[in-house]
Amino acid sequence: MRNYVIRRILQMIPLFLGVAIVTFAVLSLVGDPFAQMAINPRIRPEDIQRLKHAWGFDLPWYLRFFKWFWSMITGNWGVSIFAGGKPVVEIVARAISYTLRFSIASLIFAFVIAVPIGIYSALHQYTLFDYVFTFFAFFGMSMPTFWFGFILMMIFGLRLNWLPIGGVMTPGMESAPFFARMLDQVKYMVLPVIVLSLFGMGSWMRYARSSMLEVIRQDYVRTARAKGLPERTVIFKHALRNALIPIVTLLGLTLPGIISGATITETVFSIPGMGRLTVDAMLSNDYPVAMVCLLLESTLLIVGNLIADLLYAVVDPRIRYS
Amino acid sequence: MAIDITTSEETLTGRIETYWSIVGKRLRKHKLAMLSLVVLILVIAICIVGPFISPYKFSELGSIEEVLQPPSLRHWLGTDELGRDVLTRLFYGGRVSLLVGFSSVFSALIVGIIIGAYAGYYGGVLDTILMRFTDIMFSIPVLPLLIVLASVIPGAGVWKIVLVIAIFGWMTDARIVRGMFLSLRENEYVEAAKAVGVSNSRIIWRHILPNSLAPIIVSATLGVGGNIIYEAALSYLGFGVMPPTPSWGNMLQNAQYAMAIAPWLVWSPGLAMFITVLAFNYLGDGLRDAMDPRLYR
Amino acid sequence: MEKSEVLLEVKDLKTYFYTDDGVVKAVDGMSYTIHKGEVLGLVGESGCGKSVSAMSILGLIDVPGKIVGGEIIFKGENLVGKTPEQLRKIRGAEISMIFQEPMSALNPVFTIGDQIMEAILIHQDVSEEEAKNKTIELLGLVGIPEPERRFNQYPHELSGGMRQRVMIAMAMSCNPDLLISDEATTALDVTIQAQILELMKDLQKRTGMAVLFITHDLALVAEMANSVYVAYTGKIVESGDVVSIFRRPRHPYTYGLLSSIPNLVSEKTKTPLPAIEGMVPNPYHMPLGCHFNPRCPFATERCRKEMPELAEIENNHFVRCFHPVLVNESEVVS
Ligand SMILES: Nc1ncnc2c1ncn2[C@@H]1O[C@H](COP(=O)(O)OP(=O)(O)O)[C@@H](O)[C@H]1O
Ligand SMILES: [Mg+2]
Repeated sequence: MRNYVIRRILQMIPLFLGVAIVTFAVLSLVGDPFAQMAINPRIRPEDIQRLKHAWGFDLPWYLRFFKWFWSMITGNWGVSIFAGGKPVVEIVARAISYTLRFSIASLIFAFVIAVPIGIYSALHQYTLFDYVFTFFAFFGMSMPTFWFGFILMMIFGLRLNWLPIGGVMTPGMESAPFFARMLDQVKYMVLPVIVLSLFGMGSWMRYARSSMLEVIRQDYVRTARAKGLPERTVIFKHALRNALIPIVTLLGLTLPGIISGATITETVFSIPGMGRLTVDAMLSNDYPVAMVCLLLESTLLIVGNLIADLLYAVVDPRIRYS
Repeated sequence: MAIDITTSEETLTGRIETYWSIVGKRLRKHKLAMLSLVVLILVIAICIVGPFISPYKFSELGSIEEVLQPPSLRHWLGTDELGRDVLTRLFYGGRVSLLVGFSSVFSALIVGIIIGAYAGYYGGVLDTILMRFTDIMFSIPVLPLLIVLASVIPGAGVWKIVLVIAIFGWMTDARIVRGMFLSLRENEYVEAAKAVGVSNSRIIWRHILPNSLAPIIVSATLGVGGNIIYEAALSYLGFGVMPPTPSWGNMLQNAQYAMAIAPWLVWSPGLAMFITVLAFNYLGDGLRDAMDPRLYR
Repeated sequence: MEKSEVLLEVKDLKTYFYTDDGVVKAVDGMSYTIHKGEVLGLVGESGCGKSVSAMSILGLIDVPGKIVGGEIIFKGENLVGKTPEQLRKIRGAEISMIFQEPMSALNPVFTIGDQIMEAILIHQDVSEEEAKNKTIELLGLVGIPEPERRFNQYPHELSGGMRQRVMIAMAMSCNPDLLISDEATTALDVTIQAQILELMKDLQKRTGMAVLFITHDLALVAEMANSVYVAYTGKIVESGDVVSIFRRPRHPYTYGLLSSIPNLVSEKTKTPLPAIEGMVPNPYHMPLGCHFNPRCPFATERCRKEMPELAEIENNHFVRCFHPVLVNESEVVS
């Protein structure tokens, strides 16, 4: 098992390198962020030249890549080209703190509500409950996120005036007492979390339902019934345990969505999170920031896959890695 | 001994026909899928015919009195901030959104099928190379790169968006197709075809591909809906189909700022998109049920 | 053999499936009787309603299926109409069942020990400790080496034959009066199959339980059963004791089934008996008249119009045919 993990991590290295090269290459298509400065007559061409040289924009993209890559793997993640030269780590950490707050809340929200409903639906296939929640699941999967955000804003923000329609906290609340501050921030989280969890809720529900439907027609469930076990035991011991295998596995695969899934929602609700940061940094070719953001997401993706595989081995005795 | 290849291919086609006729029968029994099909046909028909019937042009600016008018008899769905008729723009926007949805899925499908088919059929080094590449593409955060590509590729055309979505959209299809090919290439009829010297490309396209169509069709159907939303999200962020060409997505681009005074600008494009995507999802689900191989054991 | 007390009597059982595509009369008026300590062989091609009739006995028919008629008298009580809870108490305790696929019949995520113990704990008033000891004893009884170690293994760590032994141990755990074996050896290869059959025979002799032995393979029935019932499209078409069925098969279908046993040859012509042609009819479109008529070499106009009744053709030998085959007793030998 330990050897397996080590091997998997070693296998990640070329994958990671490949992703870094591809993303950097695409990023370099954006071009030189200093080019526009030339229009400004008050900036001297020598200064522009100096900046270009400092950031490697006088080099071909692959040389710039190696320069950046070398300093990154030696632990120097650098500073933003813009943003007053703030350290990348600081910028990213701040954005992540916002994004995680919303994403994790919505992941838990979606998972905890949707999986039991999906399983219940499967056990009561073709009942009213099943039809209602099947529709709900499709509703969630078909709803354009940002439009759903607009509608919630129009209803709960503008019409009813219950909840704020954007931002992360009321200005001036930074120095409020802890609980007041928390309450204030929770108010700002409600709509984005609902929007962010809607799609996940729909797909978790469908997934849990089909997983359970698949399991209850398996032979071993029939065996459990033939043994004379009470229906409770048949469902909650024999069927559920198996139905949860793919669900738990999928949990690992949703990990990367925590960051990139939030871009649209962050834009709709003006949240200064990772999604926005990534896009903005890329569009201005602030590559030290953009690359860290992108690679962080890729890492989550790759690690998420590994976690999924490991979880699989934990919940399913048939899987043994060596 | 000569083995008649045409016979074996006919047998094969015969099998597929009965399979598809069963699928058709099952699909017709799936009420929601059939309803969705009807809705989709209606939506497509309305988007095609609508502009011919409408008295307005999609880019026709209204006079100052006609700016931001709520729905009325003159403008059934109201007008936007430039006084343009929303209903007319909805027809055109629908054409564009559907076009983007279908063509991006189609392009991605072609790439995915080719890569998946060759990787799965030949296996070995080719498979390893293609699948590592697929893994890399899968491990790239799609949305930010999509945005960057959309912003750096010159031109404002619809085809640019199709291209950009397709570039990042083929990997799932490639994996599905590869999986099907891996299992189907061991089948007896493939062995038999090989034994009598049918060429590899003929086996791939004529023998294996038709048998792996079911999951591809399901994935494509769901993909059209997904890509319509993708285009809309890109447009909302300002990188999709560029105005003045309307799409359901870019019609919503400015709606956020107008929502307090002109909520009708929010409702109609979003609802059109939602209904269309919902129909694609239901149809895809119905197809998946209808094609479920376990039903034919 | 002297017939003893009746254990189970299936009378005119009808189990139908109401599917989207129509009604499937999977079991349509089947009757058979099992005496205490007897092994009854139920044979027929795949799709003839053997499994459905077994599941009906256990009360495990699920929607869209339903028992729509008949009685299942077990130890003097009708199981049809009993509550699910009453049936549950009988399942696994007085009647237990083993299935065809040992690969998928055991739950992959629990140890085999756990799965056997579970049945004991549900039906018997014993402690965990006692149940565990009993389980290990059972594993030994069904011929699994190193039962203590096997106790903690998962199904995937065992071979197909071993898993089927586990299934048998599970079925035997509460000393049932009736064991239903539904194609229990079909998925196994020949040597393993022989071992499992030997084990079942041995256990049957030792415990005196009755066995409903379901198979599509008449050859196995010859080895195992005292009496034979041949099913076709949800009905019994021929029944009798094992000797009369093998010596004097009267229904063309039985005759055809016999012919599929390789080492049976017609003594006169020294050629294998003719195999049955065609396939079991589509359950949604049963032929008119005798359901076997499209495949029957002797079918007449009457067979295409009327369904024959099951009639006693000699002592305790019943056949559902207008034109029972007449075989010279010495013609079929094994
Ligand atoms: N759940 C079900 N739904 C519909 N038809 C079924 C179902 N289970 C069994 N059948 C039908 O009942 C008939 C008898 O099946 P079965 O008892 O399994 O045959 P066998 O004799 O091979 O055990 C078959 O035609 C089968 O298609
Ligand atoms: Mg069966």
